[in-house]
Amino acid sequence: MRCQLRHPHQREMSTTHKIRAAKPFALVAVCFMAAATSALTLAQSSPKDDAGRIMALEQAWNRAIEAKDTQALDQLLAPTFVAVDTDGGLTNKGEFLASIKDPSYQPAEAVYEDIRAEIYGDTTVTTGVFRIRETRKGKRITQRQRFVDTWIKKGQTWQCVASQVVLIPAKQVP
Amino acid sequence: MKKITLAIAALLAAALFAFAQNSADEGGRVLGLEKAWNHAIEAKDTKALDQLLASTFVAVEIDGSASSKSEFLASIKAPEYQPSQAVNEDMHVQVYGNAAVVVGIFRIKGVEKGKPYVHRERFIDTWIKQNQTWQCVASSATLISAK
Repeated sequence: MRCQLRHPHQREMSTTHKIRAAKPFALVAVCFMAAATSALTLAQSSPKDDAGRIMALEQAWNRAIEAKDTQALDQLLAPTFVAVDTDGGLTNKGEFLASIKDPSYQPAEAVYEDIRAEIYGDTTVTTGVFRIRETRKGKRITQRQRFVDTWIKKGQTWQCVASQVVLIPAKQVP
Repeated sequence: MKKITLAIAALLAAALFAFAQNSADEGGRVLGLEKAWNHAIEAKDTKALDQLLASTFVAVEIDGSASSKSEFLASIKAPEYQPSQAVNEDMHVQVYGNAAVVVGIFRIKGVEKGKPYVHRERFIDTWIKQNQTWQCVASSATLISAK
């Protein structure tokens, strides 16, 4: 999954490099082809495909948390990403990645009990219940959290721009 | 060739300026709707809320429960829910084309089941523009514990 995530970015980077080196007429041709390809891909990309992609990205997010893989998370989160944690604290992308990297944070398992996606063109909202088993500052905890994630599609790449989690008290059944 | 390059640069600059201006306008509109939402809550005006919320709207409340649009409207209508003041202390909007994400702190004062309360909640609202109309599709709130 991590490889799948990194591929689109590698393709975008190499395309940019080629455009910078091209002559004006070649540039027009490349732009035309890129526009035509994007239009074709967009026409082919159905909400069902996008929902499947988003579900896979959500699963990739969990694997990245379990592995403390901030490089994979960096690909999943937009530069403007904001997160609201269970204590109401607000973090930006840099702070969020730093909290995952923190040696005192030791996640053991991150899974979804329930997840739904609603597609609105280039925006998707996922909601569900997330269960996390982790050690924070030497303390073992298991939490169930209700989450809302907002994803934005830029080009052919989906990235999460906002995520909020709310603690579900132990007694409550979803 | 130089003139063409300059013309293209000028066009791009104009397009970028127009895009930035448009994003700012849209952001302002969405923030206006957030204020209208607060006034609708204070007045328990479910008709106004009905206009602001998309049919697919989902809300995640501070107790971790989720509700649909109709459940949310019913909770506002409930006689035991008596809000007296709903204000946003801080709000930031980020516009992504036909989507906007608002992050802020919402302070609500009221009485519920005879018990007065004041809550400060960190929220994220996601808005979608469809047919020239912005509507909220998701709203989540986390209680900020009083220090």
